Amino acid sequence: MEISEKKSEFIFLILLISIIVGLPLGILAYDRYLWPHKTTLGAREFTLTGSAQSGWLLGEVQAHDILSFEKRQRSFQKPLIEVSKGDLVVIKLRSSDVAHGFSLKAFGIYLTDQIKPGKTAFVSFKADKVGTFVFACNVFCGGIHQNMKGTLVVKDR
Amino acid sequence: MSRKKTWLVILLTFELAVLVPLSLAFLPITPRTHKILLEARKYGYSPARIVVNKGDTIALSMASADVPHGFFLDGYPLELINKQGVTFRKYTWQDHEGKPIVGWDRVSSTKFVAGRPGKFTYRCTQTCGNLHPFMTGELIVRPNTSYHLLVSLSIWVVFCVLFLIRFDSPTRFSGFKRINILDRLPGLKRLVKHRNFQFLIILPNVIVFYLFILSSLWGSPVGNRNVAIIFVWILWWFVLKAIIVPLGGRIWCMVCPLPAPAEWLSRKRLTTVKYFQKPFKRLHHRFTGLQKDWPKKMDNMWLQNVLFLVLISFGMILITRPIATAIIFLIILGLTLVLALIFRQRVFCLYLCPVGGFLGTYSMASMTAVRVIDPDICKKHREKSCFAGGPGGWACPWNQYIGKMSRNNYCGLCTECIKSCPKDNVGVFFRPFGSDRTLRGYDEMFNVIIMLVVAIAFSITMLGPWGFIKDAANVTESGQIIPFLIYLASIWTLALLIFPGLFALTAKGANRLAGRPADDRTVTLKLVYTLIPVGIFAWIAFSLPAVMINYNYILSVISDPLGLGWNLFGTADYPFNPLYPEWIPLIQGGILLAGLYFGLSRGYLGLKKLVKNPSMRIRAMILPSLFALVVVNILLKLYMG
Repeated sequence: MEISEKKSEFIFLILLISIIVGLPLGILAYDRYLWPHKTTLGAREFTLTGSAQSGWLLGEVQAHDILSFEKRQRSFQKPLIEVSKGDLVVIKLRSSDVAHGFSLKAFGIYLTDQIKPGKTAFVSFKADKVGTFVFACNVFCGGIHQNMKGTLVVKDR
Repeated sequence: MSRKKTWLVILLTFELAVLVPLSLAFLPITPRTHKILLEARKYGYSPARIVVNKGDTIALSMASADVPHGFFLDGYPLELINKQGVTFRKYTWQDHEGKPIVGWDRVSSTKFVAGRPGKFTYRCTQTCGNLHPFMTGELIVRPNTSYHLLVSLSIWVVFCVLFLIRFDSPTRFSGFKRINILDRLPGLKRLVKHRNFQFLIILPNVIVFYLFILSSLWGSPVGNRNVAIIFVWILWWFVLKAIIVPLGGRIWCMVCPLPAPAEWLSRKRLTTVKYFQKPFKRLHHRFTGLQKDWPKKMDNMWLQNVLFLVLISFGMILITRPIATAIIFLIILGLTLVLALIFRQRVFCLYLCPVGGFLGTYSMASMTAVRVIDPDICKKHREKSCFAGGPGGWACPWNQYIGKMSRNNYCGLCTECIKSCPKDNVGVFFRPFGSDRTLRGYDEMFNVIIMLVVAIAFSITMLGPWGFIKDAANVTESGQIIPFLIYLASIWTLALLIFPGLFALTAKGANRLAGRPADDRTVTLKLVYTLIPVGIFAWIAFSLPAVMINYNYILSVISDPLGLGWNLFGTADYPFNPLYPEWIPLIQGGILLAGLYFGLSRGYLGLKKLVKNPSMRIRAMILPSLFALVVVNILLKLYMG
């Protein structure tokens, strides 16, 4: 069967457009829905990314963020996570450079494996006491390691 | 001289070249113990080089000045990690089922005997920052027999080539034949002639490069976990240098996806041809935009040479930061699109693409060539459809007239002329390595020399053990602006002044020794051809360790391209486990010798037609041979010494 020139041009154009639209959507969909998560329904989810220069950052650090890192450093703040008593909290842990660790002593959490760059680690716990708690990095990651901390606030309902 | 005698001389000198360095290995040595405190800091070790004698004992204690670092010694079963001031040594044992188990022992100092002579690299194993993959040091165990052997053999190669030249007859070395692949494989011919062919081979690359761009923007900022860095700067670079360039030349240009959108846009077609009976400015097509021709004054490689030097000035940053790869790709994409609106045809690829520059000069040596089958048919054919375009194919996008094309340099192997030729007079030929031997001008000569200098410079910066050079090249992180400027100045002066100057003097001397068969320019451009095979093989030797050491990252990013913690095919956690790293120096040495042989022999073949007198030919080859020998020995020293 001979396909006319116009028709084949059209088919290839559709193919090209579907690749351009489909690839990012596919990546997003896979990461969000297909890749097995260690989450439970109804959990409060947070993402923390470790950085050897800026300490803990709330959210993902993507490759393009490096360009705006300077800005982030200037507004250096220790992250604050707020949950309510009784919440199931899941923290997704990522690294933007070297290996980091995670500890939240008040809830007996002490990550034994490192958070390796390009990998994802999860911790989950039930926020069963009210108060202000400190989480930290437990793998020596450079100059600001001692200062790599953040605050978890558990409020009463 | 008879054939038998020639071989006898070559064999005897070979034995001599092997025996001399081997006998050095039997000098008596008394073993002693070295106490070494190895301090690791981003991105190097102190001491960077440890030199001991065979049989010596090394008592090694490790410290880190910043983050955790590792120590993996090629060829020795020794692996350490230092974190929080404590050193751990890896040990393996087998459980009762014979399964290997890995454990770590806390140690203060590790003793081992340097029983194996040669050069062994030690590498960091903990992702310690941007330049982590380049954090190395060197253990040299004397007598370094393999290094001495390769130095001796490099001299022997030069001797043999000169010896063969001395007894060369006019008929020898001239019987090389080319084979038309399209004749041998009718299936391939049908495929190549199909209008959809180029689009369909670009399409997979469009997907892959699109993924690279997405990943270098939104993937992990850590280089060795991002597919863009690993696939572009380790896998693609190696495959390009070691396979694509020597075999296919510019065949990368055929499948390159970066200028494809611009070409589609300017043609307003993806696969088919739009042919107009009435030509516009020689071509039977109408393109989008202003349809200007590239200015004649800039019809050379100078822009490409400068852009390549600019790019490699930031080479260390480019190949370790994913975002830099995105920026480069997006700039190229944007430039091709803008240029496509102003000019006709592939002006970006011809005059600006930094990769296209060296692909052009190196493709002169490559084993694939698109050429006409019978030039007489072209002479009689008035329409010149290959150049002006025809109903079957677009006018040559590279602005070449294949009827008279005798070199690969500016042919992108896009296969349009195969489709457009109504006489079926275009073939794809397989030919011996190093067949096009005439450089057009000094722009091409500078490209060859720049490539050689950059191969040496990168070998020092990226493969060498010197942390301070890495810091200078890694300016965005280290902030050392003055050392960075010194680093830049040394590369630029070496590439644009010192090496070209030294080569010009060499060629001038060679011309004088040969009794001035032609003017200096002609002889220089002929002789610089020796450096093309030398350069190609130097780049292969340079790119090889990246793959042999870091192939595990290739496997892991296949399963997790963006570094999001995925595991698509179960290979995401493939451990760092270099492939025969202790053999890398010797393999690199062998590759360099092959480059030396091909450089001298092919360079000589280029000279052969120019210098009629046989005894003058050998005199013309002496100085360029020494130049190539020195270059190869610089690299041998870096890789093996």
